[in-house]
Amino acid sequence: MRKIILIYTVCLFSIIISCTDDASDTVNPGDGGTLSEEYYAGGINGTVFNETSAAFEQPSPAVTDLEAFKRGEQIFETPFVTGSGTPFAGLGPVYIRTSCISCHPGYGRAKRVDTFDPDEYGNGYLVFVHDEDGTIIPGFTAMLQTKAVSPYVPPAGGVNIIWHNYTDEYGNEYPDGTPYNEGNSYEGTLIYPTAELVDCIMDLPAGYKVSLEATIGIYGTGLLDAISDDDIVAEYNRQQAMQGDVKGQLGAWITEPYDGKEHLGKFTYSNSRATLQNGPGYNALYSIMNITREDQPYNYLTKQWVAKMADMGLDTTGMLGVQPEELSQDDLDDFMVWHRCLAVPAARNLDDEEIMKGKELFYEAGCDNCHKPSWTTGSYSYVPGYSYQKIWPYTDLLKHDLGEINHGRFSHFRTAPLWGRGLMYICAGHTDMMHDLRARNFEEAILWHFGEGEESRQFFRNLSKEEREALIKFLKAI
Amino acid sequence: MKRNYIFLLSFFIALFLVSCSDDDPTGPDTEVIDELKAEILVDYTNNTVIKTYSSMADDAIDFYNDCVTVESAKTNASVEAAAESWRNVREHWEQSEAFLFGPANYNNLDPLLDTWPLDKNKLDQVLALPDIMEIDAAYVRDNLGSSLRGFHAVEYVLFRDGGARPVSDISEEELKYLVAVAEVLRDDCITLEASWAGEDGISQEKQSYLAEAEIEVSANYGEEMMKAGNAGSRYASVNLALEEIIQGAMDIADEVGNAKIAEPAQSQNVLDVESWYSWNSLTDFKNNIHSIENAYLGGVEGYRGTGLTEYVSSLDAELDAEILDLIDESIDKIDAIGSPFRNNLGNTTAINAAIESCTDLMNALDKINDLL
Repeated sequence: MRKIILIYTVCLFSIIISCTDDASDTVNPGDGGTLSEEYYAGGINGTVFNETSAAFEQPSPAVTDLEAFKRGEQIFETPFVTGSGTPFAGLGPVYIRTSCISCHPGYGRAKRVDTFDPDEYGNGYLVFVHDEDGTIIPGFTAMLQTKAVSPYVPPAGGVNIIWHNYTDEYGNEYPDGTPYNEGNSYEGTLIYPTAELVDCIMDLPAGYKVSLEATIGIYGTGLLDAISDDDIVAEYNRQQAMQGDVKGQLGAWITEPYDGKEHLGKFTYSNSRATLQNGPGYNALYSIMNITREDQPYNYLTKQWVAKMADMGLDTTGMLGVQPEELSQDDLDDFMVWHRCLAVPAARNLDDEEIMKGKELFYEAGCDNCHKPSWTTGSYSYVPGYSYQKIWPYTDLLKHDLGEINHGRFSHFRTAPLWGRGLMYICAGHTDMMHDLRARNFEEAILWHFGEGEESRQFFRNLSKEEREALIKFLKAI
Repeated sequence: MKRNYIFLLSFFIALFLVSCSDDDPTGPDTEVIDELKAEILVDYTNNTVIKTYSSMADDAIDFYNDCVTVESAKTNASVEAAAESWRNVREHWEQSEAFLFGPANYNNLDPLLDTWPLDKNKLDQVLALPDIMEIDAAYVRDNLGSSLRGFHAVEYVLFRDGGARPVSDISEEELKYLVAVAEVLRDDCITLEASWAGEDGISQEKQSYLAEAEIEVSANYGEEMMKAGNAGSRYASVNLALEEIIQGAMDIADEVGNAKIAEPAQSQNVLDVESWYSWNSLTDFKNNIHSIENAYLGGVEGYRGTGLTEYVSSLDAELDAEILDLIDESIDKIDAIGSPFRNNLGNTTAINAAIESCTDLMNALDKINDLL
């Protein structure tokens, strides 16, 4: 009899294992009705159920012109070349990168690098040369150019990145005695970068600073675009009325050239761009490769740099004048269809017990104060399907101070959206985070939350090892 | 008493099978299915991916040697041989495009090998450099970006108008550049193989080339793929690894139909067709579909093992037949456009039929996800 019970137990166990294996793999979109809404990170019309390395590259269900999407994707992926008259020609005369994708591995965030090489795919560091207040030093473009078409010479020939060790007030150790990053090759360490210019030909004032900012993922930005300014202001007001240190700041109010109206800044680390129609992607397609077009007919360069070139005896005729169109309006429109319609991957395994525990801890820690879990979008004429969607980006779209050690060009940074972050490793091959990629994983990202994030950091530090792991597992699931 | 237990046991098994049946409608034994899935991952890794990359690296070694011969022999025959070698390496590369995920992506090897368009103006500047006759592989690696190396860079030196150039047209500077870029291309191909097979999994000869170029490969992506669901693999489950394989195949079907063919057809600009000098594009497209075939059938021709086809046919024989038909149909329809592709951009009926087949193939492959 004992034998039978044993067989029974073994059979039962193996069946349970095989069942749970299947159930935890994927969420079946066909069962949509039975899934909680939180799985639909990008709302019903902006979510794809895809956990592969192509998860950030998918068109959302709301896209209506797939052909335009595909053409726009080509513009994102293809490098521009020098010269004129051939496809993708027009690079330079001075530039930052040759393609969009070189800074967005797997369409995600840039990866941490030790050596700054603008030709290396995945190195998505942008460099800012600025004064104490964050104002760009005259003579430099907002984003530093380190490449030029021969015979011209870029403002700086390169950038040195220097990584420093950082030890927090607890010796990089939790109260329970375990070191940060336990079990990793870099156990017990935290690191952060500084940067310096190499072969700079421009004039530099005393006290100038060089800051690094890494690129942000592109998926889901159309949905963030669809969030109304009024709703962000309401969130701002809620935070000002709240007890405690968390007091988000609004982005800049920007008068957009295409409609003459004021819109609230919500894109880039410093909320310096308000709408996608004049957003970071729309502008980067011009500034990063220096590709002129109808609405950006001038080269992206400074008159001080042109003067330097003239001083070197180089021909600068016409460089400051109106340039021929290197990208057509049709191409730009296609690019924007692609940009807006990149879907958000669905959340994963939210019904897993450990992940549910992690979710509880996320809220208990007050992470949701800034990483606002959900929004309902407003009316969005560019992609009508994106209107009135309940989405789960985990950001308040406001700026916060995470403490002096985290300061870069500015002291305040927009709360990073967390959706899809758990897929960064499979899509982009890394787990680097924060504005300068100092955090090598989720644990470090939490531990860099000083300033307004200090209370949450302390909450996390005081959790048990199992609880810390559960919280991180939740972050990987959303 | 015994009987009661057996009854109870079967009742519970039935109960659990019912609860499983959502995922597994036709109900073959779960254990058999799991074994099949594991075999698919192993054969995909060894017989499709590593076999393709290994052949590509072998041919890239030959190609480099042929380029060295061009430089020393300076005969038309040597250029023709190198051009033929280029097409051989290219065939394997195009047959690898159903698995551009993983090392080809993370290690930038896709852009380093196959960036298009070539920056011809910049290349002319490089060829005019005062110390061009000193150029070597290290210089290419350290100084020339992806648009000045890889397949299309060497293609520019070796080909014109779809055929090998007469050797008298090729300058000394171009020959120097050709040999340096061919060496880098060889090492990049070997790096790809090593990234999937592990550094110990490649031949001594190949290991020595990597050592010479100071290239260290720490990854073993093949292990990760085969160990899906276990610690150390980035695939948290076997199904996720299978989804990756399917996605890779879907992406290239989409890319061939809706980008590589559709975009030049729409613009009617011959310069939008990738291979400007060798006119190899139609062959490339067909090899891309063969890449899907090799992924689906569990190995390259002559080395077929257990593939997704076994899994799909056991659950949905109709879908399996549909996918197999569409693979053949896509190749036939692409062929019907007429070679070279650049001269047939006006062949609208054939072009639309090819785009449609590729899109159908992508959609059929997507249906496998519903069976997992």
